[in-house]
Amino acid sequence: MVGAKYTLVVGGQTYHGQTDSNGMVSQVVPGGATSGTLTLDMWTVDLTIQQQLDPADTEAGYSARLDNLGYYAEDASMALMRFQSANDLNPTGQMDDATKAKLEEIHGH
Amino acid sequence: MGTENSPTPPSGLHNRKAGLSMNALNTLEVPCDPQDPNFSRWFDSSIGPHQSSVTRPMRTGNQVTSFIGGAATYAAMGAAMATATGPGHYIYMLNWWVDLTVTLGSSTLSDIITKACAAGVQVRALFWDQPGTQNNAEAYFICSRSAQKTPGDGYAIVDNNTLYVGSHHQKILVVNGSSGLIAFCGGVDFNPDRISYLPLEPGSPLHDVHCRIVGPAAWDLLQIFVDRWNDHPTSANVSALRATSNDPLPAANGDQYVQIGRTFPNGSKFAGISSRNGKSYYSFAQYGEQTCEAIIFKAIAQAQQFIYVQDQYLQSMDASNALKAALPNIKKLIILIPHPSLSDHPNIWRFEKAFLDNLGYDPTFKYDPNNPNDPKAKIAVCYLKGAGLAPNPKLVPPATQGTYVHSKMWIIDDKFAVIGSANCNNRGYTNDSEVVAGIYDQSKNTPCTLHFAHDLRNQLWSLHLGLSLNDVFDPIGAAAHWLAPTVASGVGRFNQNADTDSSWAPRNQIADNTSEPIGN
Repeated sequence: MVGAKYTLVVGGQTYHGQTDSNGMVSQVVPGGATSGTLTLDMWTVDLTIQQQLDPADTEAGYSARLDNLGYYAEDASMALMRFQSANDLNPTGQMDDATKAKLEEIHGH
Repeated sequence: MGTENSPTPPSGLHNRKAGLSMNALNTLEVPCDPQDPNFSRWFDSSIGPHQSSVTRPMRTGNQVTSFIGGAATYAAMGAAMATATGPGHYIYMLNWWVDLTVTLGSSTLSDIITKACAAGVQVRALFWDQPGTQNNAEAYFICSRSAQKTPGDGYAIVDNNTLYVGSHHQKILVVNGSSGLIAFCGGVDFNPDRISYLPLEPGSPLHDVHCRIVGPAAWDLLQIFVDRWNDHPTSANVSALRATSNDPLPAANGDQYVQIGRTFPNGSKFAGISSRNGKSYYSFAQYGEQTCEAIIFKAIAQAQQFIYVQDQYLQSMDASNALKAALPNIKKLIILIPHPSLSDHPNIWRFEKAFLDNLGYDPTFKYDPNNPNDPKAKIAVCYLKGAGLAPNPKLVPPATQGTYVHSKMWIIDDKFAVIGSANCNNRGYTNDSEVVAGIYDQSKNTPCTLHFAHDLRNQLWSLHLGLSLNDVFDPIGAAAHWLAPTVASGVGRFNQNADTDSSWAPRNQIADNTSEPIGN
């Protein structure tokens, strides 16, 4: 979504801006913040900020990343299968090296 | 269920939690259907193997609502017909099959017609002259309203003005009442088999898709009725229609761009048609018209991501070739058909096998991790497993029981939808009377605006696959559930080599084969 106005509330600060030409939100936020809210139009996301997400090849790690990318599912393997299908990977629903690499490439580590 | 235009994505996608890492790039996918900067590409009807001599206009400013299943469709039709309350108003119907006992919301069709005629609403209908007596008593009932009610104004024609092997397959309802012009088209006739299990209808209630159009394109559906009515020899003896070809277009009412396509056979070349002015062709389509096919084939050629089609017959080799040409450009081709054991069609196995073999569809394909881009991994062909109600044990082998897919609907890239009466066969594209609506949604280009085609596909896939709307939001990802459906899924993979027509149990003989006349 290019040029969408957003409001980011994190660490007690409020930031306004627009998504860039790649549809990305880039914002330096206060260190130590653990939560926040990102709002674009009617789209609202409650943010939980960690030092580091769990590794992408763990269920907690890939579930969090898939959730961020819109592959939401109560069944993590179903979400993983859809991510694999969307990215020309073998849709097994199981994590493997190729899937981990693609997930980190698209989402970030 | 009905699908209003421009809805929001599933709540789980637009209100959610995200886990982020500090000091690292994190990506959040925002649900959004961007507008197509080159939207006009969907509407050019300059291609098609039987190119018509006409191009139908694309109309902006429509409000289109889709309906999945007979109950939702009939409720909306009943509500629309209830707006026709007095002189000046009208209800026009074009149908392949009519059963007046069908309940439209809270009243039967017969009660609605009786009430409308009594109030002075002009009720006019053209019902196809079905083999046997179906539609005859129904037409007589409407005509008799004039005699019994004052100032009744009902008249219906049993219409056999087709090619010798043709039919009138259009399903159009147009109402002009207190809310202005409201029009419907799609796969739904007035038939209880859309809402109930009928012992002689395998796979009933049939799965179907219909739509309602309010806005300028409703006028195009109205004109189909006006054209057919005014050209029919019998209509010369009936009072004039209240609607004319000079009626103004309705005002803009929504965000959908719509092109109405029509199929009419070429009476200048093939026999069977007689017009009111003594010609052997329809005076509004001297050389026939194939704009249904043109709209569908144009959309296929525009596909860049996926094509999803639900169809009753899947037989047009022209369509198969169009899909084959599109395959290199797309990631997924998903096809939903009724299982042939439910079909009313002679030689259905042979035709569908030819169609699917031509595409390279391999029902035994196993995904090769060393060849993730194998074209065979792009295609899933499925049928609906669950009927919800017991099938007729005489006609449906237990192993293949399921729901009959009657819809004729295409969704391309979640941007363009086609809803109509035209099956993917020669009859639908060249021989019978048919109608389709090609629909593009130009709703606002902001997060969480879900466009028409995307929302309709979401609802259909959620229904068929037994998954949540969130689960099917991404079409390429969710295609995995068609390629490898689970036991709990509502769909099964179709194997065109599993049987032959020798085991087919005919129900009635509605022929369609390559020896029939095609186009111009």
